[in-house]
Amino acid sequence: MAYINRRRFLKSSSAMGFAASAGLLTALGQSKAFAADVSGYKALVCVFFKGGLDSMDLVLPKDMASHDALAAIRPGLFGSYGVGSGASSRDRENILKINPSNSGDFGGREFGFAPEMSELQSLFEAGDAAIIGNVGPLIEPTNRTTMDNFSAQIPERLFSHNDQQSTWMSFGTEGTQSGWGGRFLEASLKEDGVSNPIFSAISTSGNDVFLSSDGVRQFSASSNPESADILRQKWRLGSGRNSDAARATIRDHLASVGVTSQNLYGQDLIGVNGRAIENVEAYKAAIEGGAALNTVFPESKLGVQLKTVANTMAVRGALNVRRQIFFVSIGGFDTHDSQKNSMPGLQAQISTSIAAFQAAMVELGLSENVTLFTGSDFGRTAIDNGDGTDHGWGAHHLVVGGAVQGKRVYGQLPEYDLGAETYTASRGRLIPSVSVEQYAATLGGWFGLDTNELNEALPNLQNFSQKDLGFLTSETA
Amino acid sequence: MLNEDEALLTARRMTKTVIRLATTSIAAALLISCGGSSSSSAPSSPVAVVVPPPAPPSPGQESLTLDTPQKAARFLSKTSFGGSLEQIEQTQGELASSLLKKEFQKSTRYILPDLKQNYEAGEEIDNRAHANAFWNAMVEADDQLRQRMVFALSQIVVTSDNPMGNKPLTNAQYIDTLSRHAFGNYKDLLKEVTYTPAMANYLTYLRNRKGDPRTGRMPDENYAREFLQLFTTGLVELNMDGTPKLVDGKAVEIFNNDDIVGLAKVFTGLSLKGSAFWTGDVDSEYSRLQMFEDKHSDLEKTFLGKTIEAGTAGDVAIDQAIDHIFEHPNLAPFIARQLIQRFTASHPSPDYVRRVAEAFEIGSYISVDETRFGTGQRGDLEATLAAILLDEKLYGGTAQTAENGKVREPVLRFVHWARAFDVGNVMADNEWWLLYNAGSNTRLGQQPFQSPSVFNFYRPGYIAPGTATGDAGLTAPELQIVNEGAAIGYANFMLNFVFNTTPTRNDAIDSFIPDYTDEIALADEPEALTDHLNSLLLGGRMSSVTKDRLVTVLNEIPIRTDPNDAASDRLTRASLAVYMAVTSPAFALEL
Repeated sequence: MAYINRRRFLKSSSAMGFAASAGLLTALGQSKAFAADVSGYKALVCVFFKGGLDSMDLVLPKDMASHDALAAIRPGLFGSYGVGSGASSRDRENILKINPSNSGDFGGREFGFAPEMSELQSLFEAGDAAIIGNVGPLIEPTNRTTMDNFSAQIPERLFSHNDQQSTWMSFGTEGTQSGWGGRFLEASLKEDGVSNPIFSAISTSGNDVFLSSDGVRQFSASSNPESADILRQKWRLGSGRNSDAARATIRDHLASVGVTSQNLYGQDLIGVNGRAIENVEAYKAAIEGGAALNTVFPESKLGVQLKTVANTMAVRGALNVRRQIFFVSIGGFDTHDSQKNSMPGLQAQISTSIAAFQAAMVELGLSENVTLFTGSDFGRTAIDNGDGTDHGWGAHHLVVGGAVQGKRVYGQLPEYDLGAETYTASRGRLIPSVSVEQYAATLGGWFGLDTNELNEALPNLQNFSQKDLGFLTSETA
Repeated sequence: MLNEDEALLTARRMTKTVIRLATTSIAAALLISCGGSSSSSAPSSPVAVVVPPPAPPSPGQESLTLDTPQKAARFLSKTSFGGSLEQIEQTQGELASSLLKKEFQKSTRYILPDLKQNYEAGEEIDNRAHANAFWNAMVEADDQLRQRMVFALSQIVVTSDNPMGNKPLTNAQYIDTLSRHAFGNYKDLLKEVTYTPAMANYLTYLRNRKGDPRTGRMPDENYAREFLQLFTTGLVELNMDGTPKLVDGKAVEIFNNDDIVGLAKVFTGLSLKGSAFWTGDVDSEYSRLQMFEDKHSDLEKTFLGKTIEAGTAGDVAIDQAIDHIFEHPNLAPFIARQLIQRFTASHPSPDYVRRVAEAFEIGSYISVDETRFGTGQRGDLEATLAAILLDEKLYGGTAQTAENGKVREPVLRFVHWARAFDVGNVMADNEWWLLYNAGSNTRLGQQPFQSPSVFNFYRPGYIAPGTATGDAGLTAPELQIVNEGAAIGYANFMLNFVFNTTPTRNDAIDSFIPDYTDEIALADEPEALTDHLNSLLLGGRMSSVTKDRLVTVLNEIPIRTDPNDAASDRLTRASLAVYMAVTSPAFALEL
């Protein structure tokens, strides 16, 4: 492995008798400030809601005045939910109240989750979950005035799904090739001569840019890893069924071993074939060597993916990894219409799946080592379009895990005063109060990156005074 | 090495081909000489007819003549879903421009009429009936280029039947709308698509009402945004070669939210055909949408520098809006580049994009052999397609560069297999895996009209990180759905189709039965079988490593003496060889 292990180099230097050197001692003492901490095991899990999360329908108002205010700007949506009937999940009395430890910051306003999210409410109340209010991509602090008079630089291609997904994950529009998950791993792998880079970045959902970076390539993990059927279905070879030579040749063929191409696309296709056979076989062997989890996951799309993540963490020793970042995603959030038919189900899926995941972390003894956080293309308009909502910008998000300083709201949960500086002039699209990079820096600092590495991974971080939102117990704190 | 070896046809095939080619050349020569010499020779001359020496073909004709099996195979895999050996032979020696003309003239195979008839006769229509019909059309319809174009358009003007799983007629009507306009004008296509129940359902403007100042409700912005971003202009100003125009090093965005809010008002008031906004006639789910003026915004509507006057009738407003948007100079390069990606190149060169965009722009294309395509109207898709498929660089013998080529999406690969082996009982509705996604380890990874979102299965601007193409900055849309799991899913999906072991809906019916007669006949000669498949499926591009592996594996399958056993062993060899060919990297790459 080509990765230099600075820590190990320092250790071996001291063993060789150079420890007396004052310079080296200083370097050792301050190593945290110069290089990623790769001790122990830590993992981040990004749960991405594709389509643009209507977070105003996720973190709901519980006090009368706020609830009335939201009802007034969303009459169609609230009507479609049947608010006022007493039986609606969005009726004030049915909203599950949360009691953030910093409720005093909100001047009497109260918040809650829809009844579909009871598990998440419990996690929040137990201190294992926090809300990060109004997060979104920013270049620098921005409000309506500085946006409208062009004095603030704002991200390109706002409100466009693909570009904002990419911007959330990589700070560049579609076509960008390195995401901050990948950059975080790049930094930690540089310090880590032990971890296997192949299983450091793991996606259970497609080829999004989040986990890519120089020297970091995501592995796509299946919930049921299996190599090519022909390698285990002997009967396919008929009269040659007992020929191990034939099977070995077919395996090499499927893995494109020794096949080369002058064409660049050909080279890429050959590369994928090799990884498909070799990495999947290694992954499958590791997973099969692990013990089954007792925690029961829901059979939902999110539940299955998070179960795969938990199973993968359970065999981190066999996979030989100390730092991992996972990418998980589900779609269905582009709720331009019939929001009442989709959001409650999605919320139930989020709540039950994340709760199961947290239980699995406790079961594995990894609760303090693993932090789950959510992301999405963007939030949605405060003003409805009848029974749905349109593309917005900032959105409220969730962080979950034993290391989370939970039962607290970070960032802002703006009031529903659409004339305020925190909304765009049209349709009440939230202008983020917290940048994705501040959110990411808080996660990255906990993950072990030092200040320089964070600045390198997060190009606009320097434009914000608060680099750590404080929602994670940091070792440096 | 993925080499460019000349393919070796089997002796049997070679003889047949040579004879055909000779016949064709003579016929062509006669035709040319008759036309060319009419003024100098008296047609009624009683003297013995002396056949003049054949006039040499023009350089243009020469470059468009599909004079080798490789060229013929390449033409077929670009203009159809691939061909059988017989079709390759029939194509060889033909002129690409003439073949294309014929494709443009073929009658259209529509899907809705049959379904409608059955529906109106009271029969139950399977929820996947439209998918069944489209799979079958891709595999066996005669109007192959049109079906390719429908599949291409379905990936640009995207709807998915996912949220309309119980509306086969709605989906069929949409597919037919794409078929009807596939060789027509893109503007007409956009106007008709706007009035389909499928698109209105999918992009949520069905029953989109004008704003309500009392409640603050605003029109749904979904269609307005995606119509611009995905169907017409894209987000940033483009040069004719598809590259972004840069001002001070930055791309110039075409519209902002105010444009979207303005255009959203245009797409209000549409609902299903019927007497009332909230209900539809019995045939409304597969009929053109209807405008309800009282639900259409009567405000002034401003977007992209255009203002539609207050009080303009809804249909007129939509017409004016699309006319205006269509005039945007981005249309040609934006659509041209994406269409090229669906047919011939994952990362078309800027020059190629410009050539095709110019054909779109002027609505006509004259190929190197001086054949004229198109009506001369901007947006003509026949001209655009001809420019893509007859491009000078495709048949001019220009050496392939490392950046050429197209990664073939899974549907193209699968249908190519089905056509190459002339599958019997083409009944997609009997195949679970064609109508419904199979498990994660047995999936094609792509189903027509099943895109996960309006952003298609992959993005035209996708660059695969950490790859050779990514390092070179090449777009590679199709690689967005290629990863470890997808590669294994594909290998297992194909294994079962190749071996004819897929799960069927009706156990009593065997469907998608491959015909391996030719391959079984060659099973005793592994080298010959390998060469044959190389010609048939890979245009002669099988790497020597892969060839050796096929031969090695086939030799490990003994052919036993008992005749029944031997027949079974030959089928095993044929199936294995086909499986290895369709899982080779060369099969996924179009050059």
